[in-house]
Amino acid sequence: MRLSVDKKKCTGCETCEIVCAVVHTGEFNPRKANIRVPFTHPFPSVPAICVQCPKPACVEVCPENALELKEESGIVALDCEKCSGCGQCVDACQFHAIFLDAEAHRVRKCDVCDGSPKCIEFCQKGALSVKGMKQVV
Amino acid sequence: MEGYTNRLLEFDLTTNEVKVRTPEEDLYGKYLGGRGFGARVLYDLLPAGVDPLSGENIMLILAGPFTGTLVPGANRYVVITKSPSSKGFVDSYASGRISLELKFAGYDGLIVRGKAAKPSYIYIEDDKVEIRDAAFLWGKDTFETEDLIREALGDSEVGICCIGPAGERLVKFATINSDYYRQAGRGGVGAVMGSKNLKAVAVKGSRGVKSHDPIKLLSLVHDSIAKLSGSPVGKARMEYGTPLTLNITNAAGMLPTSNFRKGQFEGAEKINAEACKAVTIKSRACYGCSVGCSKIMEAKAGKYKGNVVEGPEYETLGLLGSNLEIDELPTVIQANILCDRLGIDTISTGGVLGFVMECMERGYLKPEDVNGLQVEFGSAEPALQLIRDIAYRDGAGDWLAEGVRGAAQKIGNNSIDFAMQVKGMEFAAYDPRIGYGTALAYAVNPRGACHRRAWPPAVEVLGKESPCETDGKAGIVKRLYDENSILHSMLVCDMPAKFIPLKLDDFAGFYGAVTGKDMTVEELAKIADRVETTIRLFNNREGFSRAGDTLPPRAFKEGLLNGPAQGRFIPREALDTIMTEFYALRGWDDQGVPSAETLTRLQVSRERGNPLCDCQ
Repeated sequence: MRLSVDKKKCTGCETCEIVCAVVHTGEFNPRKANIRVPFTHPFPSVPAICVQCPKPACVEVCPENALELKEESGIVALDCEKCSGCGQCVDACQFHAIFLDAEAHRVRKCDVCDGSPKCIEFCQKGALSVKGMKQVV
Repeated sequence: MEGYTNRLLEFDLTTNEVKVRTPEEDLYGKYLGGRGFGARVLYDLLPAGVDPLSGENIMLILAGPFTGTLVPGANRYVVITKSPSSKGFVDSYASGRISLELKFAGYDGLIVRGKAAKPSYIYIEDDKVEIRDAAFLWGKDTFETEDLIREALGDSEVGICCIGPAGERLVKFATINSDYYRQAGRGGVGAVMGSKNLKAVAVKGSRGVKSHDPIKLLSLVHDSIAKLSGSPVGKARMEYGTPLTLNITNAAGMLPTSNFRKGQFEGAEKINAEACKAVTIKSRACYGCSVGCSKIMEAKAGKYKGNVVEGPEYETLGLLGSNLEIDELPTVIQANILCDRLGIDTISTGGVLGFVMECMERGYLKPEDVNGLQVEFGSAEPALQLIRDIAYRDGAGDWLAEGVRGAAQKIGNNSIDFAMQVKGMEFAAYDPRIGYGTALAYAVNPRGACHRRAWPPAVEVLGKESPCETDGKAGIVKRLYDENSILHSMLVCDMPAKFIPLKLDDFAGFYGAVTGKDMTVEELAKIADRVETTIRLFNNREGFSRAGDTLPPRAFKEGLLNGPAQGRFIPREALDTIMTEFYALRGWDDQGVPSAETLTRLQVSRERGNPLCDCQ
């Protein structure tokens, strides 16, 4: 399961990023978001979102075992208690979708909010969706 | 109150001093922010009569209470200063990351005094505040400047505003640019920045913005997004952006054409909404805005094939297209790119070029007067060359850089009659002869001939009101003015407000959720009166009176030459009548001076005060 963005529909407004930060921290601070939209020009960027790799490099390099691939959901989950914010996973991620939160001594990444992320509800363009959701019996 | 940081950075570039200041208690409550707050602060800090391009002038760069949040259209900053173009109050707005980075760094804005001894730029990263050497930036265009700063800081996310070569050369309609394609375009704010030897401001913050009730705020934002999705106006604007306005103004006969002689353009189909859509390759939204009205277009043919710009917006299409009788979209795109990079306002530039073209047609100017250029209506290359010459003040560009009013003084004859400006600011892309309310909105505007403070065509051209009626017109214009006064003081863009659409009630709701202070629409209306009266006092103090609230002679003497409003002009007595009524509704006397009773009622002091104290 992963959060996916349609590049054609996305206008780079960053609403998803801001909603993510508010939902997770209560603050309007994109640097606390689990997804990030880099500033580029003239064309806007789409959000960088963890693709939940089946063989995640971030899990391999984490010295604290704070990252774990969950078999059932396919999500790469972060245990914030274990994370020390060393940033090795940030460097290892070829999708640039893990972010250092130096102030909180931890990293941030998308965990698809248990399959019902708020960001989707705020995307007027309908560019965001959850892909690969397993049928819940 | 949440939403505000209650901290402003005050720079003195002459002495290299920086202080953190906090606004006097209740200043935000009385003036909200943006236009209102900046007007009071500038009124208090700036003595009367200073040269706008001297170190004595003061420039404010302000974020607003909603900046950094998801309130629709809140990614915005305003530059407030004394205009070198009008020598009166100017507030010039742009979208840009610098607005949110200021808030994230912990500041509501900057106050810039003095003049740096050498080219400088300001760098702010949270508590780190530096005035840095800008030798490596001076002379560079705005795109190069942003690139070089991002490269020097090793940070692509930094928020930047900067000037181009035109601002360095004090062109009277020089812009301040941000995020490459966004400009605080009007009133020559770029020249004020240039006069201070300030090339750029770069800001990065880490703190985020706290709101009183973030969950409620998200819920209100969600409602407005849902409303936008169901709005026919919203859908059309999301699809076509501001170029859609050209179809409307051309049909109504108020599209500037041939230096505001005609109201309809024969070549409109080549530069209208459909033509723009055909060359649009992507929509782009401002930070946190669901509309995404900005369209990235590409020149598809000719000499400039492959050139890409975010734009052109409606105003640019009107002034650099129809007003010059240029019907080639690639030329308008190229003119837009030139103006953006050089840092001049596309609106005023189009006004100046149209004026030169008419002077040449009448024989008032010959090619040898204008750098050897045959600047004729419809001819692209001489116009593009003259844009460069103006920005660099090269040859004739030097006096054309003073704007149409200054140029008319040099040219003489009766050229002032068709120098289309109010208070030195060139016309926006709406012919005010279309209706008495539109004429009043241009004439009474404290910064000059601008469409942003009130747009009466919404009611007297597209709505049910008769355009050539004086009864009730002053009241309509005041209501429209007050609405925008609030939006601009809350520092939100007019676009989502008009396209979603949102009413003042909605913004009162946003204000409560962000700041924790509930406001009624009645309280907001009183704030609008207070804001506009404060700005009036500022301009009165600079010598403005009723005589300045007027239009150029063409608007009174010459009827529109074509279109549904053919033959229409503004009778002087009609404008006089509604002007007097407008003043009365504001509580100003018949010369436009706020009465003592009005000042008491609105709690506005004529005396200069101390709006700021040192931050604890």
